[in-house]
Amino acid sequence: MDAIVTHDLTKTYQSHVGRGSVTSLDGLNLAVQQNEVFGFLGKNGAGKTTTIKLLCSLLRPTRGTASVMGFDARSRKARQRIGYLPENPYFYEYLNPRETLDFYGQLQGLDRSERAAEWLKLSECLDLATIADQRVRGFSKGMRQRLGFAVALVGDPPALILDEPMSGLDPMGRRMIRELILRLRDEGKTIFFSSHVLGDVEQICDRVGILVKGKLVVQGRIEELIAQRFHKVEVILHGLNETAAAALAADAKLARVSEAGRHFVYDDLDSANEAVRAGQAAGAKLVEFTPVRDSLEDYFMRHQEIES
Amino acid sequence: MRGRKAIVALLVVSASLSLTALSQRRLDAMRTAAFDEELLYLPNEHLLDHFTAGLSGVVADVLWLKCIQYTSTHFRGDFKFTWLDHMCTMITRLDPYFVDVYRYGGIFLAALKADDDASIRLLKSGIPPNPDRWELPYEIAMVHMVNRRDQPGAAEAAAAYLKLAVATGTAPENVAHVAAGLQRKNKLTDMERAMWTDMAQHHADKFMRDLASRKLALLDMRLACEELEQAAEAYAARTGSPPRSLRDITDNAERIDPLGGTFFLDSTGRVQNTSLLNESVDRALGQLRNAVRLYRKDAGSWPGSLDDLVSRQIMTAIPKHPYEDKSWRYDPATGEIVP
Amino acid sequence: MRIWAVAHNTFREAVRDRVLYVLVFFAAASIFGSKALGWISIGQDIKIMVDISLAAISVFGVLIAIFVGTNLVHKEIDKRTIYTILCRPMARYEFVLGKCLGLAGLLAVVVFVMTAIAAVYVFLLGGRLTSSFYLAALLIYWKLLLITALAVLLSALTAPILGAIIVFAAYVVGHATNIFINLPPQFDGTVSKQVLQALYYVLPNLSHFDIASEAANGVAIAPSYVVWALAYGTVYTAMLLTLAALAFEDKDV
Repeated sequence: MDAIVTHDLTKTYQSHVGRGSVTSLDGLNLAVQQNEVFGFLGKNGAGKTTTIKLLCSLLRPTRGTASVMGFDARSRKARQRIGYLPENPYFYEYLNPRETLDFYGQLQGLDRSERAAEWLKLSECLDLATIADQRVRGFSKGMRQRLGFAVALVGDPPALILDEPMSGLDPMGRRMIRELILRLRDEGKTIFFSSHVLGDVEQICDRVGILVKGKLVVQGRIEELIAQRFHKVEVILHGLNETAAAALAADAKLARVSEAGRHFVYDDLDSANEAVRAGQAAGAKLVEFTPVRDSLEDYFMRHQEIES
Repeated sequence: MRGRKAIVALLVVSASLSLTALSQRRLDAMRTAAFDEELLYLPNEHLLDHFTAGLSGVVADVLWLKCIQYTSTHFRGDFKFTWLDHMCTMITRLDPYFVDVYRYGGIFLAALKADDDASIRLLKSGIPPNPDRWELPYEIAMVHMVNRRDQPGAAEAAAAYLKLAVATGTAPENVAHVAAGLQRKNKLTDMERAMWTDMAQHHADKFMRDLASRKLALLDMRLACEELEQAAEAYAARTGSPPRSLRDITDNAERIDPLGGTFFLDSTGRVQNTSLLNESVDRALGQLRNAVRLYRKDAGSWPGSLDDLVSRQIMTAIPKHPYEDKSWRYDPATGEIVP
Repeated sequence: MRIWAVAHNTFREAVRDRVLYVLVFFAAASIFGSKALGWISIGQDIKIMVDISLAAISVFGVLIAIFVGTNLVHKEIDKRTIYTILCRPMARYEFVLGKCLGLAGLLAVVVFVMTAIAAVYVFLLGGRLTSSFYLAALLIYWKLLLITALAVLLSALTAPILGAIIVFAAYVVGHATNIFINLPPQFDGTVSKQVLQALYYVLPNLSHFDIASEAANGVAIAPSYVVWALAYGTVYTAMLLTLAALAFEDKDV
């Protein structure tokens, strides 16, 4: 059973002023497997937050269905199994972390002893013990994020849905969140998070989905997605004369000169090999032959261009 | 899903409103039972109640305070209390249980404005919502005893109202004494003196004490006049002709009148006192002014002369001017009457 | 238990709203200041104090119900504290009920404190209060519950400013509805009369909760009247709460 499945999930907002409607999410068919880390990518405004809100039953879908751990996303059983961390989470400013977690524990349906146990576990896991009795009002962004994570984890839900969990954090904070996510995955949880910071996604996600203007354009393992596409190859030749260099540069995607020699970047292996042969025939020495893999960022940007 | 919710909402609303309608009818029945239906029909006073958003008690209090100020200002000034009746009516519409307004409004209307009809009307309107308050029938009895003492049947009417007051079961002892006194046909003036003395000595408010003192002084004036009358008759019997001046019948020719008036003999030989005459003038003036206003409401313009009041049957007769050598001066353009 | 958690939290949060204390301060000031008006009366000072005390409890109570009430749900949506709550395994109506309960508790404390202040003050000045005074305060509280339910219903449907205006208008109109059944004779037999009479039964008649006049003048209240008035308020408030729960059921946040 997949952890999160959506089928033709759509959300359209009616404009009150009569200027027509805005489709925030269009026909989303998503499948997140159990015990994986899934990165949900998209520009700001692409519909990532809308998707997450639909999964957490904060919004009603205009069309389509969504289910979490086999239950309809709007049912109580589904919400029992979700841990949600919103972007820029807000909590009651005048409470402290201990009281906050106690409150959410009550909402989750835990009794007093269970809530106490949760507090011990989570405060240790997220290092809240030192700030346990301070009011949330004075918390930094990093402290709020830790608290937000703790709140999401109350009740030990099998699925975590995080909206931009690393936004606004310093490198230390981002690292902490990354490690936390990986640790949770090792414990058997499924983590679905949205981000527009591709570097973070690349580092920890098993699978990704890219959302452009409300539509899911691709979905799958990172390596597979990137591997499908272009294999750029960089060739460095030393001791090439001008005319030969010009000839090789004509077929190359990129050409530049450095201390090491002349660099040429070709779109595929065949043209790269061809260039090497031509260069060696002209008397140059092959210094380096490196396949350049597409970064996720390039891949992402390319998809933005395709859609627009 | 939307449709189902709408149906549920509709069912809930109709069920709830049926229940609330039921309770509303019960509550309305309980409330209006206390009031005379007719009283609820006066347009402007009733509207005010609706738009005071549940603060009618406070608004009534504020208006009452203004009413008190109005009364005391005019008491010290021109002694005209044109709006007193209307104000008291408005206030009691807003707060029908405000007994003091009926009571003091009634006292002011009778004692200051000399408008006993308005006074009795106001006091009577207070009885249906406050049936167990002795003060209201008591004050009506007082009006009969003081303002209407010269009219036939005044004592009987006063006795009847006092009986009502005692019947409420909440009246203090002296009320029962006064009622008993009337039964024994004690002199009305003694009753009146007792009532004013009590108020002059015991009332908490200075304004009311001053009013009572003034009334006591007028009472004394009346008694002094009667004494002088008797002395004049004795003189006439003795000498065969009426006295020509006050000096004939008394040594204290310039009897001191605490209210600043003077005693004199009129052309028919009767003893008069200017303060008492002025009081009569005020009373008659009040009646005339009311009649003139009624005429205008009825006919749409001021009457051409005071006789029109009689021909239109608003008054049975024009009251004679208490000063024999003066008459009413009426200005048909403004409706103003000058004594 | 979840309803109680939300209620408890709402209460705690409302108690921290500074607007609350400003309003309570002004209410207390009105009560203490009412003595001054009594000085220019001719012996009606206790009546005036009772009138003003009950009026203060009513007016400031309504202001609290409106401002703290409409604000509360909207602050949640605005500050997004609501996100982490509604994604919990609880029904939406539990959230609505919890909020209302918290507010009801707050209002109970406010009304109780102000009634106590007024009672002590009147007692210190030598006046006596009949049971009608306390019953008047109770009915005012019941009226405030109705207004609160309306405020919560509107906060689920519209923006806070519009909601506050509508609730305030309903408060004013609610006291004037008797005008719809006491129409002058020229309305007899017209369609307007029937429409207005229907309106009378649909709109909340808040004047049923107003026994301030009886309380201030020391007139006794029939217990059956109080019972029926409470019943009326309970049914109407329950209706509004149900509508609020339904409105909130599918609301997008």
